[in-house]
Amino acid sequence: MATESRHEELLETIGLERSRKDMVILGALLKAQKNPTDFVDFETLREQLAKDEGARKGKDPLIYRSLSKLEKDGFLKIDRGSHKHGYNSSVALLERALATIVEQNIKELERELKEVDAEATLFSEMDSDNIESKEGRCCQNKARMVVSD
Amino acid sequence: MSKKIDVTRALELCGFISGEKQESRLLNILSTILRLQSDPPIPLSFSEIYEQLQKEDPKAKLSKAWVHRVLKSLVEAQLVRLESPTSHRKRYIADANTVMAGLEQLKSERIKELEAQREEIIDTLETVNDLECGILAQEFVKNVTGVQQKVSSRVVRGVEELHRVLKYNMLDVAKKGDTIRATMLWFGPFLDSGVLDRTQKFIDAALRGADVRYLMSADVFTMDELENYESQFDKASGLLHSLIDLKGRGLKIDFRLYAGPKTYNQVTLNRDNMVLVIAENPVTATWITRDFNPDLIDNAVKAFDRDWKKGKSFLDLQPDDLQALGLDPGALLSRLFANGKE
Repeated sequence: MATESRHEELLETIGLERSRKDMVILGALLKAQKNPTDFVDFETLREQLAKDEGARKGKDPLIYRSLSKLEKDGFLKIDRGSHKHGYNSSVALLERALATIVEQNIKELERELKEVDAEATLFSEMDSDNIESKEGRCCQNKARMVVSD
Repeated sequence: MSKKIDVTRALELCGFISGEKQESRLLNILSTILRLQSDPPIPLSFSEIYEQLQKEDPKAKLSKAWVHRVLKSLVEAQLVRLESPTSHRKRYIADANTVMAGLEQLKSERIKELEAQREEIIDTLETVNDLECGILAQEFVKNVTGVQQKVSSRVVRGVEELHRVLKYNMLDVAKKGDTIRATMLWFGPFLDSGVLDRTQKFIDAALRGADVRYLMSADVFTMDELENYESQFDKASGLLHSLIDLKGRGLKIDFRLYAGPKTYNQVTLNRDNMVLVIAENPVTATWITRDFNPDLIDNAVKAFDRDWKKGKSFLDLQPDDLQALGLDPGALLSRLFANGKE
């Protein structure tokens, strides 16, 4: 149980909360597949979602949107070969999708770190003895400061 | 180096104002007090400030309660001070000194916030960097379906990812009765600042009772670029001493040197899973399980065992052996060897 919650925490760290609609739909798809290689049609997936979520399963357009997003992020494959599309996911697809998300997260965190460092540098260089008003007059100790409108 | 900076910008940077309408009014109130001041500054009553605000902007319709709240926050931020904080009738003073004091306080608060943010980002970055996506994917599927679906192969890129795969699939799970076979055909990108931590993982597995066999090609010690790794001599020497100590304690760990043709550049755990390095720069490898390709794993293990038999343990090396392996007695390995035996 502790391991399970640890893994959930790690997924949350990269923005994949289990409660997210697309993650719920991905879970339902994995459950609906009897084998990792099976492709499941939309109706079967919707039935699984109804079992898991009841009335909260969401309307079809929302489910379709989530499926498209999951496909775009690499979490599932869609077989568009026949009239009824088939949906499939597997641990191998998940692993590759997660690797991409982890890479994006690392880039984003490194960017945030640079921003924080840049702001910290700005503060270390900022001297409140040397603040200028909008009129260009300098605020020096014991001098009167004028701030324009 | 100090930079000249505008008051409004300084307050924005400190997070005191953000350019919102309400907040620009807040700055207007500070400006109004400053304009009303004479030199030396005189304390101003609430009514004087409020009347001046109405005079300056009759359309603003500021409530007295709101102006009171803003003055309170300006006092808390030390941008404005009270003539006598205990007095019933409050009188306000703002001048260069209060603005500087306020800015200094806001600046130090903001710096603290930035430091906390920095630490949090670094912690998260460490966690994310250490994520093993294969395990995470397996656990997700298992939690949802109750069924264990395993990844049977994957491409691994870079030394860090390679080590993460080794750590989660072999080095951290190996126990008594397991055999780890590792081949080192070149140092290349592996001899970096993380080399000791990575080697320690092999030692940890041996400490848990696994049989660790580390086979190194003699060629790696004759490569010209080895001279570039002179700075790693102390680290390598330390490792050799650890090895002598572990062997002395009866642990199953050995590093052997062999002179033979190139072989599989691999690490295996028993015959269950294997990392096969396929390119050096950038490091690219494939990780496979027995389900994926049992023949490849069996062949790699067979080749390893053949070379392992021919190999000579670092601890049994004699000067003659070094020469037989084509190694210069004065070169890095010989010095290392001499140092380890001291």
